[in-house]
Amino acid sequence: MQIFPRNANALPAVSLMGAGMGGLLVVLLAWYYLSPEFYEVGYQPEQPVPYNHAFHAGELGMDCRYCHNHVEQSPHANIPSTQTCMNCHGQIQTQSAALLPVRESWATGEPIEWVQVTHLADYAHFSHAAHVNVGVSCASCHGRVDQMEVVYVAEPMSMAWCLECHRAPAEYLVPPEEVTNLAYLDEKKEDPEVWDEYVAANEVRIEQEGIQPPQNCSACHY
Amino acid sequence: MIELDILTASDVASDDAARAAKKQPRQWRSAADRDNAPGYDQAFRKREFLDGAMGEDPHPDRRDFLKVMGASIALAGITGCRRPVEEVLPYARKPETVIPGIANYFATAMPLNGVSHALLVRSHEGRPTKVEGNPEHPVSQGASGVFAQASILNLYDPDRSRHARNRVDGDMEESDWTSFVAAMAQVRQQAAATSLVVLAEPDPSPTAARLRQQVEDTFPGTRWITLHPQGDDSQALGTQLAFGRPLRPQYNFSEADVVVSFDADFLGAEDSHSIHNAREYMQSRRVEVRTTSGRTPMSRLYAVESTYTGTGGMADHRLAMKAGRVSLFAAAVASALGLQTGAPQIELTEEEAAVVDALAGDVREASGRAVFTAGAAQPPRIHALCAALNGQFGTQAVEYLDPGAAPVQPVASQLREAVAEMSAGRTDVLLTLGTNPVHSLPAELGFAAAMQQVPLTVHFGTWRDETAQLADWHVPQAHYLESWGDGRSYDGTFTIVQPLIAPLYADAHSALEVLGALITGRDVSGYDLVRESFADRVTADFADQSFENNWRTVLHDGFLPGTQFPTVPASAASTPDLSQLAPVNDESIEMVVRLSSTLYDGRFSNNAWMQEAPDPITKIVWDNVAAMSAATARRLGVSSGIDKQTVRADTVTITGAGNATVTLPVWIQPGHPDNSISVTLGYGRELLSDRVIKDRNIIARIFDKDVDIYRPGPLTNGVGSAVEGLRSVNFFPVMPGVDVRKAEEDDYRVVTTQDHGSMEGRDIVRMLTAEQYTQDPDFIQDQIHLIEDTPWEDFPPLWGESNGAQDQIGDVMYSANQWGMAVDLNACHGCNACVVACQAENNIPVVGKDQVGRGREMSWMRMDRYYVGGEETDRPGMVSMPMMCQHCENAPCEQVCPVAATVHSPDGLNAMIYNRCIGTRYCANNCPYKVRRYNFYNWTKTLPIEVQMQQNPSVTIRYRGVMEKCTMCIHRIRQVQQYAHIEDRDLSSEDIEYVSACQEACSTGALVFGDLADPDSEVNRVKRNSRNYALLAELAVRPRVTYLARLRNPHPALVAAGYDPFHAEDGHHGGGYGSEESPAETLDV
Repeated sequence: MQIFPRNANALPAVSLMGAGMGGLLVVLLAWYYLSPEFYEVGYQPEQPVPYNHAFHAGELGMDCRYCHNHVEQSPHANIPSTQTCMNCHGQIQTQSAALLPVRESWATGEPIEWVQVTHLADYAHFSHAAHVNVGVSCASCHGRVDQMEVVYVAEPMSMAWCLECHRAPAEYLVPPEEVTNLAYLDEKKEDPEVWDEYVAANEVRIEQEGIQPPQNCSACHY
Repeated sequence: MIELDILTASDVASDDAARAAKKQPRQWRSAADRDNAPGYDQAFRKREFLDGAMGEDPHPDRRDFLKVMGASIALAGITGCRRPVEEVLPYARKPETVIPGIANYFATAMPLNGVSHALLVRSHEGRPTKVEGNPEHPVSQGASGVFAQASILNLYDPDRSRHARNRVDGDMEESDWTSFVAAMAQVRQQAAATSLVVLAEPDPSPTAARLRQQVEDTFPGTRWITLHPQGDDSQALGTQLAFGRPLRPQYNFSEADVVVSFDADFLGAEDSHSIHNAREYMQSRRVEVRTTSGRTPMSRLYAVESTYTGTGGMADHRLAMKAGRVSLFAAAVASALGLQTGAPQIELTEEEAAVVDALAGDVREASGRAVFTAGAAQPPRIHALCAALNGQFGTQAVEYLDPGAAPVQPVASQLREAVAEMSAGRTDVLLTLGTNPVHSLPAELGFAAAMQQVPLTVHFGTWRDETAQLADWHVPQAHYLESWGDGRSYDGTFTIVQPLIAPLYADAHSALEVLGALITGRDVSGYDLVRESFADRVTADFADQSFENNWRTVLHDGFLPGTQFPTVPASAASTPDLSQLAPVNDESIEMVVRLSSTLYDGRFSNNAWMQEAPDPITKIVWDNVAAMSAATARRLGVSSGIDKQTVRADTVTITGAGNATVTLPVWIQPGHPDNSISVTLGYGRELLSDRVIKDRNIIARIFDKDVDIYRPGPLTNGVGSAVEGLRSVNFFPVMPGVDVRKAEEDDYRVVTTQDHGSMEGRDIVRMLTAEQYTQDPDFIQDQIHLIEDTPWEDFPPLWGESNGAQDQIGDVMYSANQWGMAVDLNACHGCNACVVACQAENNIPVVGKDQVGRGREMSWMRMDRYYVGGEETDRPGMVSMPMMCQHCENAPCEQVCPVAATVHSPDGLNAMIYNRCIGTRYCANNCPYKVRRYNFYNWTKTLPIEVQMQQNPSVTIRYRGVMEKCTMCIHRIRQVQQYAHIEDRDLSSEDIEYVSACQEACSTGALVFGDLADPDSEVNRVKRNSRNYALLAELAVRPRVTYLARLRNPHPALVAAGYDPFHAEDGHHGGGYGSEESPAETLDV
């Protein structure tokens, strides 16, 4: 008596193939969804004050360092104190409802509870000062903040991503005085010839100044 | 990959033979090691790790397994959740000097037992995280002791009292500072008619002295008693005998040729001037410096001791005898030197007579360069005798500082009278100012009962301790990092105590503020009080009369230069009459009570670092013991043994003064005098805590074993037993005759690290005498034994000039500096300051008694202590050796890591990459030095929030399942490298901008860290010394940390007579590793 039909003979092969494909699918899904490109990039939390970077840094052309004023000295690029906001907003937009938390903070001395956007693992030590002073543009890690109404994570902040620059700094370095000019690299990239020249010039600068971005583990992990 | 022969038993046996031929004594770790006790080989010597450090806790049963599996499935569903939202809170108004991410440093000072210790404290965004010595202060010179290092954890002690409390209907109920001030105002209204007793701790503050005067003026019926941890300040009483007023001896050991210690542990951290003493003493031992200046190569230290101390370990000749006999021996030494004291004669043993002869000869030869010191366990008369001896023989090396203090009275009569008044109901108000008399006073005084008769009792202290629980009022004491104050250093230098943080609890106030409230009946700020005192100083002392300028300068510097006490020459001392000195009954059992080397008088007893810092001598953690000699233990019929790698001890019940009893475990201490028992203060506390202990969440309850040391309540509760009450009120430290009996419990678990990390009985510490060294500087190099027929040339240093490795690495960032360290064993007396400094700097977890017993201690630095020789006489010598990651160039750990989590950095450090580590522990297995530490549990996650505030934000917190070890403070290195890079300059080794935490804490300069690539660096200069050797050099691992051999300076006559344990006779050589000698009959540990 025949319980299984003839075409059931294909079942082992099909199920093997299915398992293989399924396994592959799992790997591919994990590859994509468990990577920082997926779960870090695009994170755009709502802030207690709807601060508009595109307006302040873009349209008004304020320098990043007006607010993030310790970025050149400290490992942290500080979030500005309420006082920094009040330098201007003590005089303009003094009745704005959106700025109410700022005025409250100023009156009570309680800090504004900003939500952290860019997140680096605690076991990776990163110094803003070490990067900004040699000419790593703010835009290289934070993207075109001058075009973001609400700031979001622009880059994956993964180790492989860090190493892209550390292995080939010529494609990322800007002159130190241009680090807060977020459009600088984009403009260079518009014309391929200009870009090639720029990278070549950077190679010379790297050679001359002895710029050696460290690639060993202990540079960041300790 | 390097493959090396491993040492076989025959290799080691041949080492043993060579050692015996050279008359080198054996180095041993414990009595069990010395005696080859049954099971010792298997338990420790041949085991790299304790069983607990190898595997899981025993009995993970089926139930646990199912629980974990079930929970894993349940939790799998919630892994899709996003990471928690983190908030960033900037300042509303940012202080001008604070840059987030960059630490600030402030000068302040720690008062301890009447002496101010000048400090420089690091603050991260207003949160003090680390204490260092003040580099510009004349006493500190940048060094700090173990207690200063640990004091920061007392600030964040979660069990500190948080509220003022007032007794209402018999219960202590929460109150507040304002109500307390109001209560004091009421007291003040009847000031003239009030009989007030104040029990105060010694306070170095001039402001406190001023306020005390005001209290005595306001309250004419004041009886003010200053209570030292040891009852009396016998040094002050002794100098008062000799000079007519209390003085402080200042020993300039660097000028000394002979040092004689009568039971004085002057190097130990408990000594108020130990930083100065240790630095000066080690100067006198630096042969290289002394010979160039035309002096004797090295000073010689004779120590006569009633227990084993670090000072005894440094001694060239050490005698052990009962404390009472030390006094008589001191008199015998004096009479040998022609000083007649009328003391009772004692019969000297042959060895003692030989030592007295040698010592007297040396002292006469030293012509004014001899130093005599007496310890806290010696009566004031012996301190006076030392002053007289210094006056005759030590005028060039000893001077006395005159603090201008009022005459001191013995505390016994004051206490008796006060207690009698209190009992009779004649005292209206009792104020305990930073003291805890219910716990710390002898039981025979009956203080607690007398206290009940006082209508108003006020307790001011850090914890709700034993006295607080009986008092009517309790006010929490602010930590010195929270309060304003001032003080005088040991040498008199005026120092300022400035707060780095507002009191964590609003009710916490300083002693000055409590006195201010008592005097004025109002809330007076400590800041104003200190400024008032300082204003007097400005008008008196300065050319620039501007108050604010001077005030700001002193705040910045932390001290006023040139304010030392005036000195008095030693020659002004008169010889005391010792005819009243009590003769000693050799057969009765004496009890000596000491300050603990880790807990002090108990003020560090709720401090996790100090509970887990092994005692410098016994290496015991989380416990106090009755230390005694093997002979005394035999006499009492008690012993201790090893069972499953744990010391199991009998217990004894000691009956002290007033029939107070305590039961303590037995600890058999090599080198301890017979018929004497040593115990330490600070244990057996019962604190109440205001901390709310939260239940563990469901995930923690399923997954984590409860290893949280903070969970059961105050750390100190239930640790050890209190010996304070046993003391006699006449003389607190020594009870000449106590009744000691074997107690019922015979299976007490004593946890000690002395046998952990055994290096298979090899001679780890190299030693030579000053004579050998001056005659043949390369003497030590002969002792390095490499295994023959190993092709050593195949293993060149990775970072040398002539090998390919450098090319492979290339010229990359950070490779310009090559870090290394040199440890001068000649300058290390094992004080633990580096161990605790490392713990504070690197967020090293504390694991508790049980886990240490399993070999899971986490300290990156350990202080190995070896006994040397003396196997038969029970009078061994002692050496200490700081041990941390050796940063091997051919690191064995790196070669076995399957995930490359431990790798070399371009600057030659053996780096540990925590996020890569998967916890195989192969690296620890392959480490010949046993310095790697594994996180068996997530120790840090459960820390109370207060303790977390101490943690250093520059150092990664390690998770369960991760290996860790000494990083040479790489976070400090990377920081200076980054700023040097930004400023486009090379790191200079001249201005030392980078030191490791251990080096920073060391007062003797024993640890030198620096750049090996710079030929002029200090570390290279030290390593060029011919005493330099690498530990286990035969393994060709090429450690970056090297050691300088220990030097000794024994008297030739005493060596010839066979009284030098370091100089083994042929017959004395004990059985080392691999020997088949029959084990000793009884097992003493």
